Amino acid sequence: MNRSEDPAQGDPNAPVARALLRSLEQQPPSWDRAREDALWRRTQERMNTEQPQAPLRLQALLGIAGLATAGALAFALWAPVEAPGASGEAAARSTPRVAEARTSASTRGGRATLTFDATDRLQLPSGALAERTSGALIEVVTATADATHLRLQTGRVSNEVPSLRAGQRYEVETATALVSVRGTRFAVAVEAPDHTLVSVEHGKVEVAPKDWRVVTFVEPGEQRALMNCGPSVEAAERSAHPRCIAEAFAARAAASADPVERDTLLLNGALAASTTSAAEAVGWWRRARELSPAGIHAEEVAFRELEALGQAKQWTRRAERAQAFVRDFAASPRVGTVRSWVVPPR
Amino acid sequence: MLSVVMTQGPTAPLTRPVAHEHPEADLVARLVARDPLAFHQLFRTHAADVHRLALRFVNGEAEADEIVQEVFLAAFRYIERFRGHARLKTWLYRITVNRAFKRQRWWRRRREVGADALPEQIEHQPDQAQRVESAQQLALVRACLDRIESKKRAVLVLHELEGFDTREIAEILDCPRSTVLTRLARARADLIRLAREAGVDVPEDGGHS
Repeated sequence: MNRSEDPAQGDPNAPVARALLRSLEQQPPSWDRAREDALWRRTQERMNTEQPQAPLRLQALLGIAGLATAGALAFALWAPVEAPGASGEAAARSTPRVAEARTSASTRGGRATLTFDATDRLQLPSGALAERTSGALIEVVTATADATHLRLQTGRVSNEVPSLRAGQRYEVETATALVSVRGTRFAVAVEAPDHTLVSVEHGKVEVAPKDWRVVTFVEPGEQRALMNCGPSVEAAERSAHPRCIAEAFAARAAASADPVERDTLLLNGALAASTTSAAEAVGWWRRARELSPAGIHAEEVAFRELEALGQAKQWTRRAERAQAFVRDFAASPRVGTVRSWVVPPR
Repeated sequence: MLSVVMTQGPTAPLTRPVAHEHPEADLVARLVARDPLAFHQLFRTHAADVHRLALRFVNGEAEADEIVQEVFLAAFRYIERFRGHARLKTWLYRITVNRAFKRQRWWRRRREVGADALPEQIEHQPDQAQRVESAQQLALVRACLDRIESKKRAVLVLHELEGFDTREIAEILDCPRSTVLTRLARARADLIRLAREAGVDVPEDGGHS
C-alpha cells in the first residue's frame, strides 16, 4: 500500500496518469449497510447450498461417478422435453451436476427438469447455452429442440444462441418484457421487479414490452431498459392505429404527476408513433424531448429522434442534432454510431 | 443477521497450514472449519473493498454486486487453498480480479466499447476548471480506462486507485513484479494517449489537473 516505495515512480507518465485518475479516485462510495446486509443474505443462501470442496482424490472419484451418471442420463436428454413450469424455480435454485434431467411418467412424451450445472450454465436441447449469475431465479418454461422459453424472475442470464432455423424460437421473459432472438449473444437482467435490462453483444434482439405490442430492436453494444411504469394501453387500443396508441400514451403522460412515469409513457407513445412514418416519428420524438429534456429517457429519445430524422432524410437537421447528441451524451456508447451518421450541412 | 444456518464443513487440519506468524491465522483457521461467524466477519471486513474494486472493472452496481457474491462464495469453497503467504484481502482481490476478467472475456467489453464508441472530443468551454470537475470529464476518463487492455488496466487500477504497491499487485495477479512494472508503465502511456485522443485536458506534469 505504499506508493512512495514503488520504483515505478521514476516513470515520467506516473504523475500525469495519477492526475487523470484523481477524479475516479474521488467517486462517492456506493456501499452502505443495507447493500452489505442484502448481499450477505444472498451470499449466505448460496453458501448454505454449497458443499466444501472435497480432496482431489475424492473429486476424481466423484468425477468418474458423475460421468457414468451423465451417460445414463444422456438418453433422457436426447428427446425433446417440456419442463414443468411449477418446479422450474426450485430446479434453478439447486446446484446439481451437469444439466440433470429427471423423466417422469407422461402420456405424451417425456418430461424433464433441466437445471443449471455447478458453473451456473445450462446447455439447452436447442443447442443454446444459458449462463446465469449467482442468485438468479430462472424458470425453464419450455426447452425443446425447436423452442426455448425461459422466465427470468430476478438476476441476470447471459445467452449464447446459435443461428436458428425457421420455426425455431428462443425467448426470455421477464415481468416487463419478452426478449426473442435468432442467432445472437445477449443478456437479460432483472434489476428490480419492474425493471428489465437487455444488452446485446452481437446479433439483433427483438424486445417487446409486455404492456403494449410495438417491438423494438437492440443492436450490438446497446442496452435497453424496460420499466413497468404507469398504466399501459388498454387491450382495445392495442389493435388500434399506432397514432391512436401514441395519443393514448400521450394523454396518460399529460395526466401523470410522476416524472418517471410521464417520461416512460412519452417514450412508449413516441415508439408507437414511430411505426407510422419517419416524418411523424420525428414530431413525436421532438415532442417527447421538449416535454422532458432532462428525463430518464433523454438519451433514448434523442437517439430515436436522430434515427427518425435520418429516415426522413432531413440531413442538415440530423447533423445538428447529432452534434448536440454527442455533446450532451459524451459517455453514451451510442456516440460512436452517431458520429458515423453526421453529414456536413449542404 | 447472525442467525446463520450454514453447512458445516470438515474440521480437518489445513491442507497447507497457515504459518502461525500470519496475522490472520486465527481467522483463517475458523474459516477452514467453516465457522459461519468467521465468514460473516470476513464479509463485513472486506466486502466494501471487493465491491469498490469490482466496480473498477465492470459496468454497473448490479454486476459488481454479483462479483461480490461470487468472490465470497469462492472463498467459502476454496479457503483450504489459501496459502497464508499474503493477506486475506490480497487473496480476495485476486479472486475479484479473476472474476472480473472472466466476465469481461464473456462480454468482450472492449469490443463493445470499440474505437468508434470513444466519446467525441468536447468543444472548448469557457470555464476549463469546472469542466475538469464535471461528470462528462469523469465519463471520458472512465471510457479511456475501459479501453486499456484488461491486464494493463488491472495493474493501473490496483496501483493508482487502490493503492497497492507493485509487490502486492504481483501477488494478486500471480505474475512477476517485473511484469507488473512493465504493464504499469504501458498502461499509463496508453491512458495518457487515449485521454489526449478523447480531448481530455491532460496535465503536463501531473501537478494540476
